[in-house]
This record gives sequence, C-alpha cells and structure tokens, in this order.
Amino acid sequence: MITEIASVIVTPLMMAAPADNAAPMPETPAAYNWATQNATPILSEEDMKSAAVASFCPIPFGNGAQCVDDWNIC
Amino acid sequence: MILLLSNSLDVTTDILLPYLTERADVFRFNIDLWRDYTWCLHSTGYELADPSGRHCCEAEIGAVYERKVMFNPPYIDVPALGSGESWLRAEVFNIWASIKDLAMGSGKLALIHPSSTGNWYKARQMRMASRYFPVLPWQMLHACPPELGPDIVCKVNTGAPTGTGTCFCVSKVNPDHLDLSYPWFLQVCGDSAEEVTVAYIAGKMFASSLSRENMSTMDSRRTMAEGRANWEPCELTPDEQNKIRALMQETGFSFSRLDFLRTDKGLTFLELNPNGQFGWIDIQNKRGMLTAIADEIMRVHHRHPAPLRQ
Repeated sequence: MITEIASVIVTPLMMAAPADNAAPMPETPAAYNWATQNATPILSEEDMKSAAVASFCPIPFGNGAQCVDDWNIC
Repeated sequence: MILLLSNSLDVTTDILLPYLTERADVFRFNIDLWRDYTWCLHSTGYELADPSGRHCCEAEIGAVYERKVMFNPPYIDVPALGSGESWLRAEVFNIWASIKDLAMGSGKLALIHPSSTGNWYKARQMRMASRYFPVLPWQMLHACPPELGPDIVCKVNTGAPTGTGTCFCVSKVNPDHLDLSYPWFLQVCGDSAEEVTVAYIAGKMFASSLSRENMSTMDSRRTMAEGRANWEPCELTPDEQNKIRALMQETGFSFSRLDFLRTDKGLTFLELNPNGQFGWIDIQNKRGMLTAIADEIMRVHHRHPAPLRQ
C-alpha cells in the first residue's frame, strides 16, 4: 500500500513566530519625565548596551505589537 | 523652539535630545501621551503646552522634526463599526499630521519630509537601486509559482501584525511548499558574511557592519532585540558613497537608513527606510552622527528665527 505523504504547505503567517527570547513589554512603561523630556545622556557601558537595544525599537520587539512608521518597518 | 514629534518610549529620541537642547529649546510631543497635552490649532497659528508648563506657539517654532509618531500599543482591535479609541487616535493623528503639514508648507520641516518624487515603496526602491548596486532577484507574487530557484527567503512589505504574540522575521522558505493563495514577497537568499547599514544624513554617511556568523536567524533585527548584535563602524569606498548619494538624490529624501549585504563583490542593496531607527549606530556620538542630525535640524531652525517678544 502506498501512503501519500502530504506536502508541507507554508503560508506567510507561519513565518510569524513567537519571539521567545525578546524582551517582554513592561506592563507599566516607565514614567515619562516631563521636565527633562526624557533626555538621556549615555554615560556607562551598561547604559549603552541597554539603550542600544531599546533604541533599535521603541516598542520591545516580539511582544506582538508590530512597529509602524510612515513608510516602513524598523 | 524645535517641535519634536515622537512617542515617550522612543529611546532614539531620548538619545538625540541632548544634542538639540544644548542648541535650542525643544518641545517634545509624544502622541502616546496626547491626553496630557493642551493644544489649540486655529486660522492664524497654534499654541501647545505640556503638564510641566512648557509651552510654545507656532511663531516661535523654527523647525519641526518627525521622529516616531506612534501610539502605544501601535495597533488596537477595532470592530467593523469602529471604536471610541480608534476614533480618538485617528483624530489626534490627523491633527498632528496637520501640524507637520503646516511645517512642510512653511519650510520648517527638518530632515524627515515627504519626497517630491512620490512614495518609494520597496519595489520601486529595488528597481531604482539596481542601477547603482546589485539587487538580489526578487518577486512579489500571488497565485503563481516563484521562479527564483531553491534558495530563497520570504520578507514583508509592511509592519502589519500577523497575530497576537507573533512577529514577522525574514525566513528561509522552500519554494515548493508555499501556499500560493497567499501573497508572497520572496528574494534570493544572499550569501554574505556581513550586513551593512548606512545612516544617510543630508549627504553625510555613517556606516556600520554586523557579522552574520552568530545570527540565529536570517533577520538581524531579532539578533538586535536579543542584545547580541555587535554593530561596528565600517568604511565605505568613495565609489560606494557616490552611488549612495546618487541613489538618495533620486528618492528626494534627506535622510534614510539603508541596508546592504557585503560580499567580496561589494555592497548588495536590500532596502532603505526613510525614517528608520538610528540610535544604536553611534550611541555616544563618537563619530558625530547625532551632531550631524542635530546640525540638519538646526539648519532649518536658523532659517526661521522666533519673533522678539514684546
């Protein structure tokens, strides 16, 4: 008896996958500093590393909220 | 006064801000916190205020810089007949788009502005860029089989969400397994050891490269989000710079972040983003990138000095 193996059918939606390792979105975003308008001088090496990741994406990548801008992604 | 349009979570804005505030007063409008602001837009101008007491009027604004006008969360569920929140967002977005539009009309829109040559969606970008750089063969197709060979990746044209808790990453696919009832954006998989991104700022260029050796996926954004990306400054040849300059002149944009692959044959064009994130490229301004951006905003600002207060 020949058993037919169904071909794998891939849709674009299958390319969207949970980003397990991405930083979770904070439930309560840090309070905005109205006086300084959140100006952030980067001082320490640690500041730099975390800011580099955060500056890449205003909304933590992979939390289900896709970025939008006028023309393109990221 | 510089009017900076953004959102309160944008760290790129946070990093850039000191380079502006040392040279001019800045009013930062965060659309995700719109409820905290006061504004009145009318036939002869507008007045803005934030909860700290910071205020300005249109006549005092010398430049408007659009950074990242994005609500939080960017998308919400909206029923067919609409919702109160979606209506509010649409109204607020339109009002602030109007303020940006007024700036465009008065020559105050700095660095980030529409192109007079139209929208540069990805298909048009890639066609035009192919006159300057190699572009890997690509197809955007529906209901017909791809003809790119076996080694391909799928990409996207938009940032539209695909479902709760998921994000779209560039991924390798088997062309024989694709469900052709869906639209696909496919491209030949680039065999390259290195990605290069270039921040183009009114003719100045700041290039950085990322080794693909330790990337867990095809998409460097994921590596970036995981905090494992080590972008290093890199050089562009004079020929590469000239080609990027010519390409940017065709688009009519003053700023872009351009993405390439680098092989032993040089740069292969991937895409350009007319308002892409850039904060991580020169985060401590050691190369002067943040100063370059501030310079361009100030150049517009200087053209529109505020009237003397009586």
